[in-house]
Amino acid sequence: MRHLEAAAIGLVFAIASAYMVALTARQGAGASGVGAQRALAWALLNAQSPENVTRLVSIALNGTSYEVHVLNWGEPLEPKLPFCYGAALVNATTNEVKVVAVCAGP
Amino acid sequence: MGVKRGTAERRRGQLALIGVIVLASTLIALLSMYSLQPKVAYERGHLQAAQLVHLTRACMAAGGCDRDRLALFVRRLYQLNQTYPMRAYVTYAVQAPNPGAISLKGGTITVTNATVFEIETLQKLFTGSSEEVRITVATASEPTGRRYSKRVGDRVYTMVEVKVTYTHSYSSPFFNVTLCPSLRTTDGVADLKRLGKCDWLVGAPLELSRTVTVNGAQAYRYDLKDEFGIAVPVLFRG
Repeated sequence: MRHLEAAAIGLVFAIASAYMVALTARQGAGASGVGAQRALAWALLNAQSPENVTRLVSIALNGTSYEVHVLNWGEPLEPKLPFCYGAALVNATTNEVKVVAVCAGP
Repeated sequence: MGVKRGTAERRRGQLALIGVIVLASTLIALLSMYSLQPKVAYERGHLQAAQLVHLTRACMAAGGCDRDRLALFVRRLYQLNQTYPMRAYVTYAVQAPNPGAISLKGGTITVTNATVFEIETLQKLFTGSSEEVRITVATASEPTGRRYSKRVGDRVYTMVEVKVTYTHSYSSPFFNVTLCPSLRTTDGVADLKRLGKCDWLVGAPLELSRTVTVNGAQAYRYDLKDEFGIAVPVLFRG
């Protein structure tokens, strides 16, 4: 009987540990707000068009959970992840303005 | 008697086991419903300074980027800042890239377009002084003395070979970056060869260059474009 109890406790401990490990991994995979902010800053310094900025953000935040939104002026930002940083991208030839927002979070 | 006692103990053990499993499942189910709400302080600095670099490049690419035009770009940024999470600093356009400064040293003509913004960071609260974001675009042109002919279609051009050093320097309280953007021709006539990171060998067609005055002396100007769409003036004496 003691063996059975020990096995039950061990099983519960294993399930709880697995859950905790999964939870930690999920949090660890999220891009931090600071990471998203600096990734967008780095992309802005090195590129001018929304396509290139988005590509560089993807390179900088590869392997983490994040979202990139490219919006027209006035279009609402509806992120799934909670912490967002935005930048305005101006096209000098067409005088068009786009907003690129990078959102991160657990 | 012994058999009965054994059965009762086993039943108690089984009940305890079921209890532990139910408790553990309940705890895990409760944990899975718990949503994380971490406290977050938004970082400002790198992005806001990079945003000003981006605006300056866009303004320069549009041409004739004076202080009024730069201030217009900053006002647009403020408008967007009300809707989107830009967290822009209070920003003043102190110096615009146009008109740039031209210096002549030996045979090298250098054009420098410097843009300066003052931003009100936390330092303003504590010391009362603003911080600075400076964007400097410099083009140094040094003719090698070589000239050659080039046929494009049915036209023959006299090409003047010029060594060009082209840099973008961005300085702010958050980063100091120097870029060597790539160059391209707008008419497909000029010859371009990259010698080093920021060094280029340019064959500029004399017939497509316009005459300008540099420090009282006559010179020629041929424009290339960089990867951000900014005009790059290649200056040389005839």
